[in-house]
Amino acid sequence: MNKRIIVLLLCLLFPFKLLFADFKASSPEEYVGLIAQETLYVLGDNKSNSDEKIKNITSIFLSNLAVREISLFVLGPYRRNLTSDQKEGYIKLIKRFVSEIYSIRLASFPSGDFSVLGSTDTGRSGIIVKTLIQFLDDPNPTKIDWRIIKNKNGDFKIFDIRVIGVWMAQEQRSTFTSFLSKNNGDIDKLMNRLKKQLDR
Amino acid sequence: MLKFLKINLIFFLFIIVSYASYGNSEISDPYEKSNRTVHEFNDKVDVYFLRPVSVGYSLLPNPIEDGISNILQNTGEPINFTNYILQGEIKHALSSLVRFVINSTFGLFGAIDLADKINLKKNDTDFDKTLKKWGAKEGNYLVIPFIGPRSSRHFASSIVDLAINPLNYLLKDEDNIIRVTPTILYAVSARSGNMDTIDNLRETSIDYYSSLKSIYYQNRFSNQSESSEEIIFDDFFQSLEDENSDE
Repeated sequence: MNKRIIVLLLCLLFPFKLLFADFKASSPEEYVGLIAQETLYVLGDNKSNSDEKIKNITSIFLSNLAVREISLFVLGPYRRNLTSDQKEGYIKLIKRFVSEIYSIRLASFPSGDFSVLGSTDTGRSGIIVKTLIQFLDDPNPTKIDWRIIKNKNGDFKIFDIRVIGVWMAQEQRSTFTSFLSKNNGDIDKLMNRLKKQLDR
Repeated sequence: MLKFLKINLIFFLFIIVSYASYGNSEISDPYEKSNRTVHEFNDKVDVYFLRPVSVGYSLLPNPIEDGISNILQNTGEPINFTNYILQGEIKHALSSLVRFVINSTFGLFGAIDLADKINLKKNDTDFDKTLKKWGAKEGNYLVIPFIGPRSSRHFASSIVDLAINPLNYLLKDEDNIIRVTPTILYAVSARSGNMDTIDNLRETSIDYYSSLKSIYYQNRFSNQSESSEEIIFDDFFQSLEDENSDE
């Protein structure tokens, strides 16, 4: 049987398997296209309620975020306070926290059509892929930019997403550094705060 | 008395703008303690007044919501016109003027954006952008009661824009409640349009005050200084590369 037909059949039989996929792509534009398509598919799934949508989008982000880089970036100058004992637990926590936050924020949008406008190579800070999403309930398209970097294995990963002019990781960095400045740079206190936030 | 107040207002604006001009290119927050107190107050106003009213407002049929939003936008055209003139942008100034005339007459006081349909697209400006063009710096970060985040330059310029707003003159002999209605409607319309975004932000942020500050800052500079924004990322990845090479 043709390989493509097998893939198609597998997709039809196990459509949600795609949600847990680590997207492989030959270019950042293609990579963003796959993720955006998958996210819009989840947003447009009328059978899922809001919590299920958040869960499914979280799955997409869990396997596609540049977790290590984001974890260190959001600490700002307090990165040096992170001990090797804290590192593993902290990165795991950030992975969950950031995936959930991105998902909750995106899950409030309806489905729609998207187009890739182009990309800009910023050198060592990755490639910014600019997309335009025409959400179903809004006549004005929304600009969403994606900062894509390559991990050690050469796979594309999402470092940051800019929705309506706001980079989300940069916003997290502001809140994290503000919290740490008020708590003597204590990473354990930050981790406890994040755990509390996730348990809400 | 009125003359005394006007002189004081001009003096007050001069102080703010002069002070702002000595600030650096990023918004500093030396009044964080008092800003946080005002932020708490504004948040309560939002939770107990603005949000519930906006939820009710969002139940209006879309054409009515759009009509109200268009009328409010149309009242901003004289502000655009004046500021474009002050910035020397004559083409944009004329476009704002023509948009205002067309929409205020044939567009039923601005309820229908007819000018947009004949390809006269809306461009927004304000006195803050004029001050920026004249060389004034952002100044410090402020949180203003009932208004929210503002840089000191932005706050000073908002007062000037308020003075240019034609609604002030049209409604000057009306009761106070009627005079503040457009401002309340504007706030309700904006809150209604960002309902989920604001609710999600409040729910997911570990420090809502810092999140709003970051969003305000990023929004204001998103079109102005992409390069300075890139410096933050570039520095981070450079230090990461250095660390990796040391390991």
